[in-house]
Amino acid sequence: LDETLTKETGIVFVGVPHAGKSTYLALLYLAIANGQSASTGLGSHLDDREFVNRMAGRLYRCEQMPRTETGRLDSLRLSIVLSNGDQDSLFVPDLSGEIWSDVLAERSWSPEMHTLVANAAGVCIFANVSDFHEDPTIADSQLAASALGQSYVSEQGGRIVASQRRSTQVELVDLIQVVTSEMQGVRKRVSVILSAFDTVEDETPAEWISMNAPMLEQYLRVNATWLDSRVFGVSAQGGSFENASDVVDLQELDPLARGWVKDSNGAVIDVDVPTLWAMRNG
Amino acid sequence: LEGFDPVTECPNTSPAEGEDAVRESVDEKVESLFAEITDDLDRDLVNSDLQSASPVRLEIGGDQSLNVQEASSLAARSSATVILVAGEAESGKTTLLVELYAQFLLGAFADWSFGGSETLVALERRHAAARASSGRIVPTTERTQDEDMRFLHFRLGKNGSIREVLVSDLRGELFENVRNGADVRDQVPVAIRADKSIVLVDGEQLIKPGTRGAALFHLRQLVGGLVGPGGVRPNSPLAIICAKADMLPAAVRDEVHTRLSAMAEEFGNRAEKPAVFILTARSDDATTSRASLKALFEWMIASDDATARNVQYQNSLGDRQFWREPPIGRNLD
Repeated sequence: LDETLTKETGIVFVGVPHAGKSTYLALLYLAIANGQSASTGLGSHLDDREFVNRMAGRLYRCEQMPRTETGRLDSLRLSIVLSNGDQDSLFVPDLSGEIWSDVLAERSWSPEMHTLVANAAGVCIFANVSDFHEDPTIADSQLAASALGQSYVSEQGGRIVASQRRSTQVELVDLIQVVTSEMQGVRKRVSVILSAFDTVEDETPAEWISMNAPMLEQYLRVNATWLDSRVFGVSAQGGSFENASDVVDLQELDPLARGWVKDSNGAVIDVDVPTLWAMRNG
Repeated sequence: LEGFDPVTECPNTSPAEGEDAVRESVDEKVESLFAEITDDLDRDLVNSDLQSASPVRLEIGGDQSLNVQEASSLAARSSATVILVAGEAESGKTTLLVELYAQFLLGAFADWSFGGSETLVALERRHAAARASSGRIVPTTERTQDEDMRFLHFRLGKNGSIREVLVSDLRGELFENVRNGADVRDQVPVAIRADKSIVLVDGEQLIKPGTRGAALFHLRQLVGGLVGPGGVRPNSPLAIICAKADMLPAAVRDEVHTRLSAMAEEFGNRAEKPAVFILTARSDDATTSRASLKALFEWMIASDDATARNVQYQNSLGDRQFWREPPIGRNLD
């Protein structure tokens, strides 16, 4: 265990597997390192960037971020210069989605994880809109089948099973509750990052949350007295890397030309805004 | 060399060049694979260290209903409204709670919004058998198994104000004992702390005249036991509810409403005459169940400021203390 990892104040990226954390991290690094689509610049060229360079390489080549993609640093750690000229440091440990799944399933975490979260300057919580699990009720499913003139048949063929996964909106509320309950300070900040947002048509991130995650929307609104939150839409890849013909088209573009971040109203903003805002520099 | 596999097939490549290219290509692949494998190992080690290297695990909670101590602590720091939900086994107590929770999955309900829960996963678990992912084709609710006093928690918000609500989730057998004459202080010791109480009767038992009379007789006995010495306070609001009302023909439903209203009159010596609700918490018609739940929820969430005044609060029951002193500003003494 990297001893410094739990002692530094950083931004904690929270999300279950495939939520888009690593891909956004790679785009964030490219934006800052290139001084493009970012309000911050690189403050030093002395940081160890092997890990993020490797991830950025995948983004250039339009390769999916593997589940375990990381390096010896296990984090993004950069010296940055803010738009007002101030120096700061950006530290984002690259926690795997499995860790968060494990925390939710086991309802416990290690003291090291606890310390990491307790020291966090802010939190970015990720959800992949193309993998957003709704977990409908039987009544809703029956109604849907009836509307199609069909009788309802369960996906499990009548076999009663213990549900393996909760709805994503409940997972997100759960994660925010867990993480913010341990963060220090009276007011806390959470950037809600909706990844793969290029798959959404004609909806702003705020509209999408209202439509697809109404419990999360309520939670953020009700707790606004102590919890500052903003919702962002991110397309870190600029499209899908699964289809070969799409990849050929995407490879024609630089990652920073095809990737983008939108604010809650759908306006394109700098790539680093969700992170900087979470660490109170945005 | 692109498009030629093996690359020696390329007419522009000499044999030696082709071999070199193959060697380089293989070397690159091996190097890349090796890098990925070592990366995987590094990542797995660091991440697994972070989550599980220490034998010490810190609980994050949320997956169990609250016991009395936990509920007491929450009530003391947040002035939570405590609602006792009473009824015999399978009368629909837990279904009522999970269907209320399910409304907030869809959006704000009766102008109140969901602000979180200390028992979020416990609520989810209770709702699981009504989800398509359960594999069931008919929604159901698992019976409450906890032997002790348990509570589910809702944090709700409206126009900038927050209301904490603790709702009991108790086994029906406890209430059957009360109905049979057992002391409510022994069976349901939290009854005296309830700011509001709900007593349910299973609508399914009211369909046939033969079972209807017995079910209503049992209900009257249960209400009588609950409002007896050491039970729910005389000035805390009480609701008498016919659950699963969608199972009743309209005429029977009307008759049940009349008889429950008469029962409410019988217990009219309370500060407030008990309210009566005909409830369909879960049905094929979501509009019906939502409207039915809304009326009851509005009664549950209505300000209990009036109730909080003049309460003869007891923080000690025998040698057992169940609730901390209420916070300053809430006059319960």
